[in-house]
Amino acid sequence: MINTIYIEDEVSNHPRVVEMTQRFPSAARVPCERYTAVFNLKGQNFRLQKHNPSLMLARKFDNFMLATPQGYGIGGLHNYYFSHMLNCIYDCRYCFLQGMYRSAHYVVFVNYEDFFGAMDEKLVLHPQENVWFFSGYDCDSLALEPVTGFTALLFPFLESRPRAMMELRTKSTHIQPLLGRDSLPNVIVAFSFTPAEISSQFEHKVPSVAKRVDAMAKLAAGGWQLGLRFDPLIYEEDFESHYQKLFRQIFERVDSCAVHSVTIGPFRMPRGFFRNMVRLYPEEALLAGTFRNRDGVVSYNADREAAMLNFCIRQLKEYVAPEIIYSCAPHSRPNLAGDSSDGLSVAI
Amino acid sequence: MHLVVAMQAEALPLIAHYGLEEEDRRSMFPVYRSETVRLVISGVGKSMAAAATGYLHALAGSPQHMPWINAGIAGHGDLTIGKLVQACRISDRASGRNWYPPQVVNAGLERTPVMTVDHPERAYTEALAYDMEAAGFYPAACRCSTAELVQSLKVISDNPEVSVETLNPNRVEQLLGDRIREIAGFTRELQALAKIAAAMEVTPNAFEQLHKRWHFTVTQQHRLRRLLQRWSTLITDERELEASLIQCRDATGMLNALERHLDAYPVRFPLSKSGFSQKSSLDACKNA
Ligand code: SF4
Repeated sequence: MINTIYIEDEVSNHPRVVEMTQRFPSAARVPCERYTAVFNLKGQNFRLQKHNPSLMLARKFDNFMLATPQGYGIGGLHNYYFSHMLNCIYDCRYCFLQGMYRSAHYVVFVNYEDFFGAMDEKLVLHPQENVWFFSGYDCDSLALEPVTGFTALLFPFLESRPRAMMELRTKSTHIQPLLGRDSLPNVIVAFSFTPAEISSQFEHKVPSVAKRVDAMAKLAAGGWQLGLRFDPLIYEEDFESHYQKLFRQIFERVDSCAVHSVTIGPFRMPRGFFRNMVRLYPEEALLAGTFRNRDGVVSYNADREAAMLNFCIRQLKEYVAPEIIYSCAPHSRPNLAGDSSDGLSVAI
Repeated sequence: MHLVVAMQAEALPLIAHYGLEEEDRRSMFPVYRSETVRLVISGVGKSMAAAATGYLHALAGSPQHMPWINAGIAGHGDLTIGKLVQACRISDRASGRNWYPPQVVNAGLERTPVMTVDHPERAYTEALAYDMEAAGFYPAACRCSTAELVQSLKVISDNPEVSVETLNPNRVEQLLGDRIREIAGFTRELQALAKIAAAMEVTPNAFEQLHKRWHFTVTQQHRLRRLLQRWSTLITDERELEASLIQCRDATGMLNALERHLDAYPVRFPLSKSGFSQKSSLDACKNA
């Protein structure tokens, strides 16, 4: 429940702001000049704020579409990500957002049209070619959809732009806006998973694995293309049996023909973010495991990482074609037999 | 808990509720205390509030993660007399600066912006609270604690219908006294939050003991603290810790041995050992 809504002066009369605030009639409305005056302040504590985050309604001015980091992609040449929201209603203990931001408040940039305009610019920049757009990079794409209503505008936009390929990445089971309409061939609804044993311990407030699998099955039946994201892979002694069980659980219900792509990525985190997370959660079991600082990135050691990736790839190949399995970890590729390391995301 | 109030009349209900005793009559600002609560009477105005906040912080030994509350009366453009409100924005009319206390505690209080003025407000031109201290208190207290733990509570004492001139010490005491339960309820929530913040800084049990035994550089001390945190999460058994270090001759050897031991420890999720469980014993403090 949202108790407080910060509203940038500039968007206070924006119709979307009026609509969103009406959803929370008893929330205090706090005018502010810029959301950054609240969100970026020093001396805040992300963990404390996570107990009761506020909503911030703001306008984004620039950098609507950003090039994805090396190795991020699902087969396309031109990859961009965007964030019409910052932060997430869920609370996964491995989430990099808690290491990256000072505040846990949910920010929604209400000028959606500017994001669409920036997508059009990228389509013009790459004529005749597909351009991939990744939503859900600094947030969960669908979790706050009942408030944002973003897809209601996004889908008609995509309908008329078949070259604009969109990944919506989520752990949410809020799929009604998708089930209530025809599927789109240029939209991939990608669900992230860790095994149930890990999810129940580290993915707070996230729908169970079973519920997410159920949502995927419904979307597949509705003709939507699906993505599977096993990123980050989390190590523990029972890693193999837990991941094996997870894959079985998914593919027992989800037709592999509906799966557009599968990505796997080992746990990896910029060192500064990891430090912040440890500061917030020093007692956290997930962060107490064995990690190495590899060129400023905290991850498992190279051997362990390679073993995890190889195991998952072997297992996944039993369910889907190798051409649709992608790795998100450039530095682990040399460990994978027969793989290139050209900095692009490649099928295994 | 640190409380900052402007006037004796505002302080009296709090002093009575928390059973506070005067700390030192000759001090710069009157301070009252119990084992867990300290209250300072700043006098009227934002400079006084800022100074008293700093004074109390220093007097208490500069504790980290202390909850701070500025409690007092305020006028309001449209709220009824006697209502207790929580400041969601604090503005300094003189400088035009704004602060936004994070609204993490949800004790059911109405939230309202507070405008700190240099002279009592008589026009009540906007639908917000008018006080004379919050803009001095808030930035000063934020230097002492994390922003979530710094809050300002105001009881509405005057509005366009009831003039500020009607106020006298008895009336002010009564206004605060009538809301003391709600203030105490809010305070409890804030204290629970402060426990979580404080637990993030807890030094593992064995740290001091090991620190005495070997000489650690500052960097090594950080490493030791983190390794012991991992130990208390994954393994917990201090006898095992002692046994694993028995052969060590110096700090470097000790740290390496500790790290090797931890790295070899088989982690299984969900974690079944008795240490910190995932739903976090720290978070459990909230309800303690
Ligand atoms: S669902 Fe994704 S964005 Fe949300 S907390 Fe979990 S990892 Fe972070």
